[in-house]
Amino acid sequence: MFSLKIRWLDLLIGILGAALLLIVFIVSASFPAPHQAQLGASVFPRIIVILLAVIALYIAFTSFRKTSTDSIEIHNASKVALSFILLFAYGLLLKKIGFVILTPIFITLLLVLMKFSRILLNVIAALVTTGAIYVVFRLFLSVPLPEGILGF
Amino acid sequence: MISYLINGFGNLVLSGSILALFIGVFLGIIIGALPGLTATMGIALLIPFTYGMDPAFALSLMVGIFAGGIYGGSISAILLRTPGTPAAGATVLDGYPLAQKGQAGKALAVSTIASALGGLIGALILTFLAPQIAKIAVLFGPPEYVLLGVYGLSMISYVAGKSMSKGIFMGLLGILISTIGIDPISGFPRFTFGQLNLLSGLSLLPVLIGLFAAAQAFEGVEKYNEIQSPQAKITKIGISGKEFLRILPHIVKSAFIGTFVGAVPGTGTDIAAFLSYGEAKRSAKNGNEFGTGVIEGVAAPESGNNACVNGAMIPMFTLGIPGEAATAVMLGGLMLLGLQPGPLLFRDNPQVIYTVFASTITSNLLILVLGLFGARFFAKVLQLPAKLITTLIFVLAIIGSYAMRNNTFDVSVTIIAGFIGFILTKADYPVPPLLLGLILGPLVEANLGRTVIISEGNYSIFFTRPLCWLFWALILYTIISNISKSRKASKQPSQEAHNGGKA
Repeated sequence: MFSLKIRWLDLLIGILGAALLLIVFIVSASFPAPHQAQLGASVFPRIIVILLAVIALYIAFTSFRKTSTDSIEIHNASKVALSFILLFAYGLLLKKIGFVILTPIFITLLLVLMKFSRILLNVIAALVTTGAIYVVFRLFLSVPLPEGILGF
Repeated sequence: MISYLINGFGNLVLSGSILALFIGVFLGIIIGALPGLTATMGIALLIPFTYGMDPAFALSLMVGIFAGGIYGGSISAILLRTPGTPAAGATVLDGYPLAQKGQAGKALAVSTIASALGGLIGALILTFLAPQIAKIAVLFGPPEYVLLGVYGLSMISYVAGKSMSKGIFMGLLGILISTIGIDPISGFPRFTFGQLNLLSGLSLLPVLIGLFAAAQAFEGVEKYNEIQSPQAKITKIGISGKEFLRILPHIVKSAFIGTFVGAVPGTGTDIAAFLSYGEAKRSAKNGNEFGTGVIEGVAAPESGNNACVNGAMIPMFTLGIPGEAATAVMLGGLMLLGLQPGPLLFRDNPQVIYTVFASTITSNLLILVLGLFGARFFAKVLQLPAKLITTLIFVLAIIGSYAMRNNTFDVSVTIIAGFIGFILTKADYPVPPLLLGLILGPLVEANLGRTVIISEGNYSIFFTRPLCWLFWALILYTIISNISKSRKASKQPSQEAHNGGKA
């Protein structure tokens, strides 16, 4: 289990607010100056980021003044992290390799990760799910799915 | 007018357009329920096929898809915490918790009844008051849009959850993210860091799917080894008469809000849903229970967004201006059919117009029938093993965000938004305000820019127009009533708890 005190996260949010303030002001310094009676590209983001930084710092300070020891907890953190990596790999490779090949592999791996059932059943569940999505999206509604190397 | 309408109904049945309407609503519900496929996309996919069709037939098909699609989004929002369309973003807030309490049948019934009734009220307003409403809608200038946006943002106080400051933070973050991309006035690319993908900014749909659906699936992985309480078998689809009377005032009010938001060009079903939700939470006796799965919280946004469907057609037919993204596509379809939208349409083609009005009214009855009949089947999704549902949500989230623009970048946005949403929700950083900021930020900024131009930098324009005053009053009323409500709540915490326990 992974756990993090909420006050640390709030502190991170405060730092994020300050960092965003800095970034927005530095980046927007190069925005072109507005013509007469125009808002200019930098004004609105600057107003918003100032408000954002103020409230972020407020959150960080009030959270740190309290002595609360509340934490966020992520159970099975390694599995969650693995699922994140799997999902990212699936999302990035989808266009290259294709929906039909990649999806059953992705679903099977996820089901194994979550100890769904015996391997054969996992594979069958993955194939059925993939087939169902393919039929509804591609055949029924003619929505293009990533074709990848197979070309369909 | 009544005789035209009766003719319209006659024509709807005799010309077979009612069949087109039925097919449209049916397809719309499926398209709407699938994440990533929106009503707008459904109509766009359809337009090539309507070329050469009888105009009333083709328009009925489009009306059906539009209305069905906006309703359909609520089904996956309630069952899977995956809003099928942005319009269902607000439905998740109470629909999903209600389904998790084992009352998926009730949640689906409420959403169906509210969608149908809200849509019906919207359709009647469209039929009988379109020209009058259009007159008010065209009075909307940039300053009014800014204040409409600010009014919408004041709803953050109602969707913030436990911590107001964290809610405001998320709302501001949403607005800040919405400034990524090309500046609406000067056309200068902002905060893109040389990334071509960021030129058009972060799209709403991938972020929405990530924050709700993908985040939900991560939670599914986290809790994979917890013993699931077996889902109560859904035997009852429907609500009691008492419950109907509870949601009725919210349905009616939301229908008016939705129709008006729809009639104002450039706003949409998502804004209508959130405004309706916020207003229902503000005015409901059990406002503090919103977010835990109350029927009012499902009824209000669903009534509002389906009413908005009809409201959006008001400026489209009367002025030739689309009120919403889907009607912009419909407008294209209308022109392809050889019809010129605008005041002359009523004079030259009353038969087509009133057949379409008859369609909009009938479409809501079809939603009611198909929705209540289908709910039993939809709800079966929940009887799948939880681990399978988790993987299904993951795949649908990815495919949904990909289908929007066939773009891997959007997929990455969904995954990252999902993970951030998963972590932040645990620390009481609420997700809905971020969505509101993302939806309303561009509306406020672009119109603020225009206001500055037309007023030559004179900000007193916000106080010199009568409609602006109306919005100022609304905004102040919302904020003040929220403050007094939270004061009351903090004064009598014990009594509130007592009442809550009773309920």
